[in-house]
Amino acid sequence: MRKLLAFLKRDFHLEASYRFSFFLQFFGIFFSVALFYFLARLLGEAASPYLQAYGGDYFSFVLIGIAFAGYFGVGLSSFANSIRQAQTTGTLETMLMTPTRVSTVVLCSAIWDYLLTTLRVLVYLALGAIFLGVTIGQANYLAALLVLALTIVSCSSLGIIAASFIMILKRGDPVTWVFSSLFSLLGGVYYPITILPGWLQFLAHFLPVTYSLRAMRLALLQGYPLSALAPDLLALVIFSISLLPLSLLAFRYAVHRARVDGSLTHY
Amino acid sequence: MPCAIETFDLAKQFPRNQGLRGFIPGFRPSPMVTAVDGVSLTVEQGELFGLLGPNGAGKTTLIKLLCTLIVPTAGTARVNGYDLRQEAAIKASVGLVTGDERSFYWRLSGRQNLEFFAALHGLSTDQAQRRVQQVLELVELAAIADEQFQTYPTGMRQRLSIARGLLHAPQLLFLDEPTKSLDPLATRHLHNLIKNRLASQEGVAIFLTTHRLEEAEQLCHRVAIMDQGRIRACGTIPELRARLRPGEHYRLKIRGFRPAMQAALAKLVSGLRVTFLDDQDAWLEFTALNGEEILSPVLDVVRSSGGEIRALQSEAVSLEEVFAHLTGEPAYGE
Repeated sequence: MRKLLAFLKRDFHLEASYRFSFFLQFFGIFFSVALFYFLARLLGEAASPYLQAYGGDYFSFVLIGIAFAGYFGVGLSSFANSIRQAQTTGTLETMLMTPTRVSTVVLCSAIWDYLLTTLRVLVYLALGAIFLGVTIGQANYLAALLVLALTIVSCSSLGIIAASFIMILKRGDPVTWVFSSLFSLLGGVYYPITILPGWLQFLAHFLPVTYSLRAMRLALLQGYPLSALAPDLLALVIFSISLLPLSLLAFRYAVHRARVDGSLTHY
Repeated sequence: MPCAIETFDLAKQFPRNQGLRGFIPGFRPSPMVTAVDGVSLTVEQGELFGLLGPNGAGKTTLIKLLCTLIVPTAGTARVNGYDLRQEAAIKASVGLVTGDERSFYWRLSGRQNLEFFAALHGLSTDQAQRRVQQVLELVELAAIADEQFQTYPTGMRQRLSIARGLLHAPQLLFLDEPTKSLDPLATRHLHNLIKNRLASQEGVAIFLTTHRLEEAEQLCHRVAIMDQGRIRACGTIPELRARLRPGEHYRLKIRGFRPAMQAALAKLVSGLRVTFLDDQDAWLEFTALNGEEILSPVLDVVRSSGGEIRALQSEAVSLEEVFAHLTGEPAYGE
């Protein structure tokens, strides 16, 4: 816990030293929300038949999508980024000279990104709910939190596999590239996957994000109980319990290989 | 008390960078590069030990092996009594200071940097704050500890690096070319810190790598010379000199040199060489193991034969000559 707090304190001070950049990212949220708000007005009722399960409103649908896509991005990239950054800035070797494990260094380095993403999600939802008519008053927050937890575990597992590639290849991990592309195209961030051709819908079912977004929207917009979300939750549990051990094994192998190659701190 | 370092035929070979090809089963592996080749040496507790070698000799690889950052291909070692497989115990008992100033967070202050690394060493908040203040005072940086690291000049960055290496009060400190990018004044300041504060006052064993001969000569109790991954020689500076050329080299400029003098001197010293400057003056040169004992009779012979001593020079074998001899490199100026 003490180490986790040390990482959070470090990242807070670093973030605070770039104040303009910190505030700029929140301005980006306003523009993004406005863009999709007007796009939703353009689509009007035309999108409703595809969105009946979520209440029929495209803006509410896409707001949840773009807000929570931040978690997928952080899960996929922050572990690899933290290693890459520590390799290039030269701090990795110094951290590894302490009795703190590499896995602790990598996991703790990602926590700040998750906290910042949570803050951004809250801003997205607040803007939508307070100013733009998104209704989340009947939301099942407990179910949403459970979906979020399983999403973080499954996406972080993919991110740790990506970090394993970075540990060995230094640049250009294929995992982040493939999954971030697939998440955007097939995961249902901007549109429901039911509009995709059958074979793409089939592929979409191999992505955790498909289940995460569907369950999150149903929990927040429709207030579905846990029992109704069980199939999606079960899928996320299966992703989590299969990917997490795999990712930890991959990372352990990558660290061992880098220590044998002597490339632990190369970049 | 166990030795600070004991290595037994320690070796490290690296595969050349193969990228993704390294994952293909059956792919013909590239030839290996030998960085450390059967190194056996011992460093005592409290000793200031120097590892001297040209660039690419394998010095940094040896340090990384001893710090458990990389895994040896063969051989073994004990650091503060711990086997290399006892990673956590070794890391808790050693500190590493590199010449790389990038290893700090430049937008954090010196104190914030140290407090972060103290936490990674497992120090509680109170312990960390106390220890950070102690090490900042030791390296004389307490006054500017709350300024951003990026504002520090190079010499101060290096001292902060030493402070970081001492946070957990290690028994052994590895200094990897600590004065690499320092100006002469900052170098002198750092030498003073290493020799007088760390080694003498704090009693920390120091394993220092350098390619600067005068640095090793000035600081270290014992020196090992490393080249192409191998330890070529190890000992005190006088021992290393004696290995290359026993004794000191003497030159006498004599007025009134006579052939009879040469015959008498040849009975006293071996390898006598005479160079006539003109019909009056000549240089006599010889090497003697027991210089202080032999010099007096030599001077007596010269004087009693009617010669007059105009100049007397003596020089020990320079460490540079020893280094050049052992590494096969030409000495400076040759």
